[in-house]
Amino acid sequence: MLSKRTKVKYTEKKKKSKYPKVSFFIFDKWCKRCGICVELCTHKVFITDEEGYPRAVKPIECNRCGFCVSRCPDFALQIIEGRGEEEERNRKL
Amino acid sequence: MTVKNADVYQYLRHEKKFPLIWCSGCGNGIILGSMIRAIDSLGIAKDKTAIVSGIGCSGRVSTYMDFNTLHTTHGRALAFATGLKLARPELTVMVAMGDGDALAIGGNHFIHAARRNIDLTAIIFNNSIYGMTGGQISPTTPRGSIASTARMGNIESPFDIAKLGEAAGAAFVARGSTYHTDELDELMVLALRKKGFSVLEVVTPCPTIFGRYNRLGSAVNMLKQQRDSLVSMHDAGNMSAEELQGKVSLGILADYDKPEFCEEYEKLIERAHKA
Ligand SMILES: Cc1ncc(C[n+]2csc(CCOP(=O)(O)OP(=O)(O)O)c2C)c(N)n1
Ligand code: SF4
Ligand code: SF4
Ligand code: SF4
Repeated sequence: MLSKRTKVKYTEKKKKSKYPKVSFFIFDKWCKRCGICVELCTHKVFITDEEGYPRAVKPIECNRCGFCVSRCPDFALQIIEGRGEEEERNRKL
Repeated sequence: MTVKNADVYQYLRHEKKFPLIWCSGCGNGIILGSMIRAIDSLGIAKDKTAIVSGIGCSGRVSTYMDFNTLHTTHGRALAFATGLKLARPELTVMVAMGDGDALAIGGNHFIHAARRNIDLTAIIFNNSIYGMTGGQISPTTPRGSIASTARMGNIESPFDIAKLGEAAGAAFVARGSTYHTDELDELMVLALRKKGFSVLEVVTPCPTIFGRYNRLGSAVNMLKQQRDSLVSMHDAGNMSAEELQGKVSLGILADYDKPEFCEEYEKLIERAHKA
């Protein structure tokens, strides 16, 4: 099984996004809290929580450039188009 | 659908081997991801791919990749890979090495694999230092940098991996970085596609050893320094000579069509049969 995932609920309902909806999955067991995803995202999608883990607080701003995924050295970050529920269910990792 | 092909997991031995052994922010994982995305985008089957690596932090990649893998001895990855490729020429063989691995102890294998132009893809994880053994200078440590064996600054000049590879006879030479990941993915695909010896140097941060000795700050800072000191191949065309001064360029640095060793060997066998 893939280690524990944290799914951040999509909250900002009022604002309309320019981009189709995406869901963020952060695998805390693999994340080494390097901060690369947080600091290098040009759209400021992430913040660091009190334990140092990244949290995608503004998924609505994400333009899906994918750099946070490809620059995460620990494969701890996944972005799925839509709500990602199906992926969650079918994940045979 | 995932953004940036997060289907990488099917190529990773994550169930048994994760989390990765590398330090927080180490660039090796970024290169590993790029290697996998390249193989995936070319649609090469797992069984038809072999990953050979040497010893060092970078050498660990073969542990994590779910392909045919061969974790060899320090400096000898290319020697093992040469044997493998000759025995099984249908395999796509990627060789992952550190800068010390490829150019210090393995320097001779490197120049001769290039001279022979055997169809291997050599990925050199250039972190400018011996990471695993605690920070000795490597053949790519810049002049003036601090290392455990150069506490007052390195007095030697580094190799230029690209020029060395090209002069030795490699068919394809390119440089990428862990900041410019989209470009790295492209270069990785081109290097894999090339028939002949391809060398891809990847500039990668070692925040724990090189970064600490040289006070370069966190991994994030080291990636920002890559952004500022390296020029992407897509930008180089629009920049003036002044802007390019003091910067290192990424992208394809050499690309030749030359006779490839395995093919020449096949021809030799045919000729011998006819004779
Ligand atoms: C024959 C041999 N000599 C020396 C060593 C010790 N040793 C292990 S890793 C390493 C250097 C690693 O540096 P590099 O190749 O740059 O890779 P990195 O760890 O930086 O990724 C050395 C000297 C060894 N394992 N085998
Ligand atoms: S995909 Fe791009 S915009 Fe979206 S969170 Fe990642 S880095 Fe930021
Ligand atoms: S880049 Fe990856 S390992 Fe680093 S903080 Fe973000 S999710 Fe964690
Ligand atoms: S010592 Fe350097 S190269 Fe080795 S894992 Fe740590 S950061 Fe990476």
